[in-house]
Amino acid sequence: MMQKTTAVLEIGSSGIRLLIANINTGTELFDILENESKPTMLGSDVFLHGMVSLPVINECVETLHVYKELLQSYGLHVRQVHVIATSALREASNKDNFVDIVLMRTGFKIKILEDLEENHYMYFAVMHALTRESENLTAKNAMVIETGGGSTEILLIKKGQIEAVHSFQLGTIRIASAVQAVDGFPESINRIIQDQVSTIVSKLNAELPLQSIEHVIIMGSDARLLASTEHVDFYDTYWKLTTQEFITNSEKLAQYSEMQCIQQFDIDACDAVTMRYGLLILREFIRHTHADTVFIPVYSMREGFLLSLVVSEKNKIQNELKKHIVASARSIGKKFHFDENHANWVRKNMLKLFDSLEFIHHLSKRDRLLAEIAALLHDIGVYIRSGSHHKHSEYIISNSEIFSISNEERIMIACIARYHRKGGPNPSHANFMYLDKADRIRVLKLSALLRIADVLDHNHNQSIRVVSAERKSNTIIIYTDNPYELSLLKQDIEKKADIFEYVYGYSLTVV
Amino acid sequence: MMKDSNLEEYYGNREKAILAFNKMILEEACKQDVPLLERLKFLSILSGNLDEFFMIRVSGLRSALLEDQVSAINDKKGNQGRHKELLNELYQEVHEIHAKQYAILNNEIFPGLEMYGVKILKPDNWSAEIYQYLETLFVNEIAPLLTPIAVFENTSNVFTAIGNLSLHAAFWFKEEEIQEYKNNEPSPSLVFIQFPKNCNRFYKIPTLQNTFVLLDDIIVTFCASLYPGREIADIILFKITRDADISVDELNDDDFVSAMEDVLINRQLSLPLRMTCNGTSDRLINYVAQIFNLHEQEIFRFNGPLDLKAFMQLYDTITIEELKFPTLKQATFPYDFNELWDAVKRDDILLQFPYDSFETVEKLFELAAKDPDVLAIKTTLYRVAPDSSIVRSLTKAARAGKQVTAVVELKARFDEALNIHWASKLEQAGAIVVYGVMHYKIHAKTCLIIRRERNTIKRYSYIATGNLNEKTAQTYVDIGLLTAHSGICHDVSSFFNVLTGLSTKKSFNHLVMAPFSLRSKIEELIEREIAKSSPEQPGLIIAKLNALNDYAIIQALYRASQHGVHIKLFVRGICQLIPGIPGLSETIEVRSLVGRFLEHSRIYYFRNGGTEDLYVSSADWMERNFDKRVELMLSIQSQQAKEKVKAILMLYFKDTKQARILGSDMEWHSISDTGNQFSVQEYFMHNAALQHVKNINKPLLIPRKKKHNPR
Repeated sequence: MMQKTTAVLEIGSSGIRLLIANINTGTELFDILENESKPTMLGSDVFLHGMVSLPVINECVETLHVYKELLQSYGLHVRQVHVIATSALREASNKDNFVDIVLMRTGFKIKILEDLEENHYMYFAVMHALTRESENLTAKNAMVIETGGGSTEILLIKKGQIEAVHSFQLGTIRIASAVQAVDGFPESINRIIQDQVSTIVSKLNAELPLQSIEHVIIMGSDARLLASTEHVDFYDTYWKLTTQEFITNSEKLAQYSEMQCIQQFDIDACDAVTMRYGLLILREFIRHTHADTVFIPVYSMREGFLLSLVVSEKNKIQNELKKHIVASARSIGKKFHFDENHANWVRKNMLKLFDSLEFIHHLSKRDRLLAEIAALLHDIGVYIRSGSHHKHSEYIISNSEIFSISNEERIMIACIARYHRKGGPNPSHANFMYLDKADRIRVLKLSALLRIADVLDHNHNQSIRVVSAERKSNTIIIYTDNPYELSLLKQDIEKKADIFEYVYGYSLTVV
Repeated sequence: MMKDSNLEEYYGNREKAILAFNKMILEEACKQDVPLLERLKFLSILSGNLDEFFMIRVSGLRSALLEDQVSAINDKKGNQGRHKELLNELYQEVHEIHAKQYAILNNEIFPGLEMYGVKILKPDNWSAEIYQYLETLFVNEIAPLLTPIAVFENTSNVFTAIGNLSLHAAFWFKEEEIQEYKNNEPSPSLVFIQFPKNCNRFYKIPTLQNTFVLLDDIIVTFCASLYPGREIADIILFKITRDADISVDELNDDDFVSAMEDVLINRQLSLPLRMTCNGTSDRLINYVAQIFNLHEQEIFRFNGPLDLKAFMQLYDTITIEELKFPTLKQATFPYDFNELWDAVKRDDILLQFPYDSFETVEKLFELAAKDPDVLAIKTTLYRVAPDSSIVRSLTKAARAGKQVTAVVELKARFDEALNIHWASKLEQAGAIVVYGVMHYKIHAKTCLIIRRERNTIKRYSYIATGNLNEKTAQTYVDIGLLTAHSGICHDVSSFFNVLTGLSTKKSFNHLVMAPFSLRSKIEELIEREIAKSSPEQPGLIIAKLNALNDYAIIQALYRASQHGVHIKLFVRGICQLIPGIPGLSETIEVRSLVGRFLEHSRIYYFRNGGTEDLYVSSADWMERNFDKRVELMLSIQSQQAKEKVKAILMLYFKDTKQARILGSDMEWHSISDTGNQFSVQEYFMHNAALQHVKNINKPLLIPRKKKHNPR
């Protein structure tokens, strides 16, 4: 068990927010000490002009200095703080300069989160807040949604399994500027929002018809504000209300003027402007579902981030998360009509190989997850054409959204899948070259295993199972349960062992 | 029949309410069973209060009158007449109060003191030996500090030279001498001498016990020696009270500290409102008054020494036990101070000063400054004691590298100069000093200590109704709560974030903050009491505060009374609510108490249908507290602390000895209970003494826990 004080600083599109908490990895709980936010114009700069302007950079630096003072009062040094940035900075053309300026002038090192990483922390926050409702939630289809300044994050959950995960460029600040560009009448606002939402909804319907959604989980400050001001039933970590209540209340709040919002709800001016659009976007999405209940967790993505620091590998949420990641990969497989039996068989053998050869590869649990996904999706390119399907697999994977998998990781999976057949990497392979050295080695180690796992089901008849593996002097011996069938594949195995021998420096025998 | 609570006639006059309060102080000074020096102290407090009354209240009325004159043509309401009439009444009343004050001083206090051998020798009674001693003293120690201002024909420079509240002597020479002098060189017609600021007002005669001479008499007797060869015709002593209701122009002044310094200078030169004086020459008195444009009504002739506030020095010097209240035995902290953190974590520690020793709070700061695990200390500072041990601890902490944040209110009236001084000292030590916030006075009294305990953070906070001032904590009755409640500490932390510009939050969970939501919260609590009140179980509001003058709150209280809610108020000072009016305030009872200790705690109780909510606050129910100041109100969470505070509050309504009840005539009336008299202050003193003895004789043995090895 370990206790410590830690801090998460989030540079968002409308505010810079700081969370300081005591965290306890034993009890997997945290206790919030400070929860502050200061408004910023980062979002409107980036979403309207593509980059962060100098005045806004200076303003951010100033805010960070103020936070630094607060952090110091808790004995926290800038380097001990997790500084994350979301969509606004992610899209800024001068994001690298911004990160560097902040580092030079304040000492804070910013990590720009990818959209799907945001979803990952969102998921943590939701699961933690809604533990009490977990049975209820797994029985039905649900949608998790958060509308920020620049993007809307959506997670579709089919009976407890993540079906789809998306980040759409629909945000309150973008809407605000679109509204400004026209006349600003309420009807125009509604029309703009309706148009944009319906485009997204038609995409989502292809994956999971929104009419089958029965619960909606809404993240974000706009929803929390609505819940806290409108006397909604509160259950310690979340609010619960009917869809109708949500719609009525959001329409009511959307009518308030900015001044009224500031006076009545104790919010910043910039939040007051965007709150209206945020609530209207959420309302629009909800209207496309069949949901009867809306849950609003008290936690935000920041608390989700904290949880990810607290929660151990063995934790239920962590396990659930893995299941969701695999499920999300599987749903991509289904979308491209993969041979599910083959994929499963290869996946099982891949994991067996990974586990029994731990002593030669020394890879992490996260790598095991990448291996698992690569095994599931390695043949996905057949959907396009059987010839060179490994290249198509690489292409499809690198352009898909897999829940909680970062950009780098996705490229790694794509490469692992690519090298499951034919030749190994060469300098003209852009994806492989994009990775840093350590990641390239990881890719090679895993694709070496995938080649073996795949060849063992060469005939797609699921008859050879890996049993164990051992090392005898300079040779690795893999034991299977079907020597007869294996003997027919002898030549193929020898051919596919090339990368293995090259990467691990052992010769390989499969018996 | 229900009365309309909107009518102006149902709001007592503020100035008169202040004088009513001061009359209570005067009554205490009259009490035969109060020790003589304590009676003198009440008279001295009264003098200070009345000066303040002129500087702040009368000044306001005078400016209103000036404005009335400007807008006289449009004066439909007849404000001008009303203000004039009121001013006349007030001056008249103050004249009466002073007459009584000096009657007691001359007829009872001085003769009484003499019985105990305490003498203030008048020049007539100086022996040759004493005369010689004093003359040497004057020449060597006093005269070098004097700067006579000679006035020739033009008196305009006098107006600006005579500062607010400074004691002066004025004299002129015999006519024929002036004539003589005029032939040779210009001769002053009038001389002013300011009493030196750093001189004592009393000089002890070294050879005699408890025998004193007033500086006034020394200066009057020997000042002629400053003009050798000339003879003084008439001499008077006087003091000018000026308008002090001047504050910083926060909109136009960039550097707040220097702007504040300017205010201090301007306050010396603002509009004169009255002259207090003694001396026999009416001609000279009138002449001086004329310079300051003061009329007969504004001249207060005293038959005795001026500025009784300075008599506190006499009080401090004399050590005859019978002349003072018996020493207060304060209850001390029952544990070893090193166990303070653990004790606070077990449960809130509730302190009631001066019955509980303020040492606990001082030690808290001392401990925090020394403790290597303490990372940061944040505190508000409003009025601190001279050479404050708390400021010393904070300086030490800052030097030791801890983050010290002090939100200093420079605008604490009449303490400004002192505040500027130590705030800059703190800054030099490396503390973060925040000089208040624009347009608001920070009146909240709270501090937050951030401590690292076994790798995580633990926070402690102290929230009080009175200042972090070890000196006033000996005489002001206040409540202080020390807590480690995580919710409260979180709120206090957010509160400091607001004050240091880090946050724009306006609402918290356990704290309510003015100027944001305190007023609406109190109104809401009163409304809730109305809603939950029934004939079977009427609502109940009990509040102890220093002043009640907020129009909206008084109106809400009237409304609550009209709905049958029982309201018990303990208002020490100004109360503009009129109790006991049928159909308006029948169920409202207002009490007050002036005693040995100054009642200063603010405690609010709301029955809330039986749930009982208790609050302590830095704020009175005054407009300025709700709208012009940063204040805090804490909802007490600990059951034990809640019960203790409630018990304290209830006892105030049992007092039959010193308590007074406000009649619908807006005068305070003693409680005519001749039987077994109960005094709440005596009761607390008695209890504290018991606790004191218990703590001293039976120290609690708390085993020191083995320290955990940091892994």
